[in-house]
Amino acid sequence: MSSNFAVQVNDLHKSYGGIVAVNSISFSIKPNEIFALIGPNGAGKSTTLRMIATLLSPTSGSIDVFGHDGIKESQEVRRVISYLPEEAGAYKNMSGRDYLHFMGSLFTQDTNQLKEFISMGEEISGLGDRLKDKIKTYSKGMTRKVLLARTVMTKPKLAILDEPTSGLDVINALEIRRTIKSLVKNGMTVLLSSHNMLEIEYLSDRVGIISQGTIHAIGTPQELKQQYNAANLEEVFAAITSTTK
Amino acid sequence: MKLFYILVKKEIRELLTLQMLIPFLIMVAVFMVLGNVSRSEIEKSQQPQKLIIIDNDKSSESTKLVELLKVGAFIVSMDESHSIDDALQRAREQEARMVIIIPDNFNENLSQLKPATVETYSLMNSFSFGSSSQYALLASSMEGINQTISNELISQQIPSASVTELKNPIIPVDHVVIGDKKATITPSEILGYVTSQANFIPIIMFMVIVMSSQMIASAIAAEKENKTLETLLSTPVSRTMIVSSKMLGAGLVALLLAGAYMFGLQSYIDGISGGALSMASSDRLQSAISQLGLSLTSTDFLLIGGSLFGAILCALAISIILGSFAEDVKAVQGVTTPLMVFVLFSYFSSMFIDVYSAAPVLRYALLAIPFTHPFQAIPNIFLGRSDLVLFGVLYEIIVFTVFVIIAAKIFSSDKIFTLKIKMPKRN
Ligand SMILES: Nc1ncnc2c1ncn2[C@@H]1O[C@H](COP(=O)(O)OP(=O)(O)O)[C@@H](O)[C@H]1O
Ligand SMILES: [Mg+2]
Repeated sequence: MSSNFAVQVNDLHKSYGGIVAVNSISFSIKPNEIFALIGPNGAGKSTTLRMIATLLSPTSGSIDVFGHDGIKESQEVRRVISYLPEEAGAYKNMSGRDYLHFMGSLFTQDTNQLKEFISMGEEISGLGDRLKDKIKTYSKGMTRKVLLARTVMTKPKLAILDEPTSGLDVINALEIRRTIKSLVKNGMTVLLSSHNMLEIEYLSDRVGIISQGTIHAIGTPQELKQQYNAANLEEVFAAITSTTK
Repeated sequence: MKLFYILVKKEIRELLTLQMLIPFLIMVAVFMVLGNVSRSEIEKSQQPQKLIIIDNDKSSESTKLVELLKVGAFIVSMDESHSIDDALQRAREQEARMVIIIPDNFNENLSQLKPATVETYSLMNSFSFGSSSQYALLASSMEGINQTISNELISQQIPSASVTELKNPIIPVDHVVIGDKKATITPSEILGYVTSQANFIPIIMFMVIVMSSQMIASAIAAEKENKTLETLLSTPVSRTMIVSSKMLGAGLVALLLAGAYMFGLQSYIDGISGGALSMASSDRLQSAISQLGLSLTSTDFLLIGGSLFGAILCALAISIILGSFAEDVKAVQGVTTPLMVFVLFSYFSSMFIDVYSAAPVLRYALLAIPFTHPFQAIPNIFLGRSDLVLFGVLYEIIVFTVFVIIAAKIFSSDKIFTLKIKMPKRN
C-alpha cells in the first residue's frame, strides 16, 4: 500500500443483521489533514469511524491505516490511532487527573513519557484545578474536554473523533474546535464526523458528504461549494440529496 | 506486568463503589447486631434465676431439695404465704420466672419409697430463644436432683450395691466405620461434627461463586453503561489482558466480600449458639475424627481449594459472556439468572442428594455442572474418594477453557458491541 495516505478505505460495507448501515464507502485521508464525514443522524458516520477504530469488523471492504491492515492488523492499528466515541463516558469514580493517568498508562510503560502525556492532557483539557475533582461532578462540556484531551494527549498519528462537539454549548464547541485545529499543526491527522455542516466548513480541510450509508461527494469545502454553486455546505448537502432522490 | 496491575487496580476500584458496598455492609452489620443481641440474651438467661419456693413440708428432705436448688444456678427465696396466687403475685413483682411448690407429704412419700410431686409454675412473658434455656435449666436441675435423691434412696435400701452399675446395667459402646477405618464414637457425634464443619464451607463456596459472577458481569455492564468500553477496547492493550484483568479484579472483590459476609455470619451463628461452634471438641471426639480420617490434611485443602478455584474460574468465564448481553448494571441480575440457577442446583443437591448414587440422568446432569464439584469435594475427601475431586478439577479446567475461548471470541470480535438481549427500542 502506498504510504502517501494516512487512511485508505475501500468499498466498505457494514450491516447489522438486516440493517445496512454502510454501503460501499471509499475515501482516503492524507497525512496531517483534517477530514470530516458529514451527514444527518443515521447516515453511517459512527459505523464507519468504529470500523476504522477496529471496534467493528466490516462486512466487506478494506481499511488501511498508516500501512496497517485495519482487519488483520488491528492491534498495530490501535497503536497508532486514538478514538473518541460519540457518546463516550469516563470512569465516574476517578478524578479527571486519575482518568488521564489511567488512560495514559495504557499507551506507554515509560514513566517519563506518561508524565508528558498527562501534562499535555491537563493543558489541552483546560480544566486546571477541577481535574482533581471526581468526573461525576463535571458538566457535559468539561467531561467532553477531558475525553478529547485524553484522546489526543498520547500523540496518536490518527485521531478519530466522532461528533466531538455535539451537544455542547457555543463556547465549549468553539474551544474544542480550536484544540483540534492546533493538533494538526503538531503533525496529527484527524478524522472526524459531525452533523453540523457549518462548523465543519470552518474546521476541515476536506469533507465527505454521507447519507444513507453512502458517500455522495468528497472535496474541500471550497470545491464542493463551487461544484454545486452553493453558499455553504448545508446547501451543498441539500443539492446532493435532492439529485440522488 | 505493570500494565496488568494497573488494569486490575482499576477494576477493583470501580467495583468497590459505595452503591455496591452499602447493601452488603448493611447485611453484614445486621448479622453482627443480631448475633450480639442473641448473645447478650443468652448471657442474661445464663445468669442465676430467681426462684420462689413454697415449702409446705418443712422437713429435712424438703430442706435438702431447697439447698440443692440453691447450689444450682438459682437465687431462691422462700414464700411463707402458702398461697400460690400470693406467691405468683410476688414473683411478678420481683421478676422471678418460676414458683415451686413442695407438698406437705414430700418427706412422707419419699420415706415410703413413693414418688413425691413437686409442682412448678413458669411465668412466661416471652417466647424468645433465650427464655427457653431458662426453663430448660430448671428441668435439668430437677433431673439432677432426682438422680441425687434416687441414689441416696438406693444406697439406703441396698447398702451393698454399686448405684451406678445398678442403674445402668448395660453400657453401650458405639463404633463408627467409614471405608476401612474404625473409631469408638457415636454416629451422632460424628454427624454433629461433620455437619458443623461442612456447613460453613459450602456457604462460603456458594457466596464466592455467586459474587464472582455478579462482580464480573457488573464490571462489563458498567463499562457499557458508562460508555467507557469502546474507548477501552480502542487502546493498544490486548483484549486478553483486558478480559483477564477483569476476571482477576472481580475474583478478588468477590473473595473479599465473601470473607466479610462469612465474618458477619460467623458472629451471628456464634451469637445464637453461644459460641458452641468455636468451642474445642472433646479429646475423645478429636481422636475419633483423626482415626476416621475426617480431619483435612494440607493436600485435602489443596484439592478443595483447587476445586473451588476451578468453579470460580468457570463462573467468571461464563459470567463475562452473560455480562456482554447486559446493556447496563441494572440488567446484570437478569442476565446472570441462568447461572445462579445452576449454582443453586449444585448447592442444594449437595445438601439433599447423594450425587454419586443418584439415578444416572440426574447424576450426569449434576456432574456436568462445574459448580457441583466443589460442593462434593469435602464429602468425597471424607469418604476417601480424592480421585473424584481431582477429576472434578480437571473437568472444571476443561469447562473454563471452553468458555474463556468463547469469551475471547466475543471480546475480539464486534460481538461485544452488538450482542444484546432484545429489549424495547430506546432513542
Ligand atoms: N448496534 C447496532 N445495531 C443495529 N443497528 C445499528 C447499530 N448501530 C447503528 N445501527 C444502525 O446503523 C445505521 C447507521 O448508524 P450510525 O453509524 O450510528 O449513524 P450516524 O453516526 O451517522 O448517526 C442507523 O440506521 C442505525 O440505526
Ligand atoms: Mg453517530
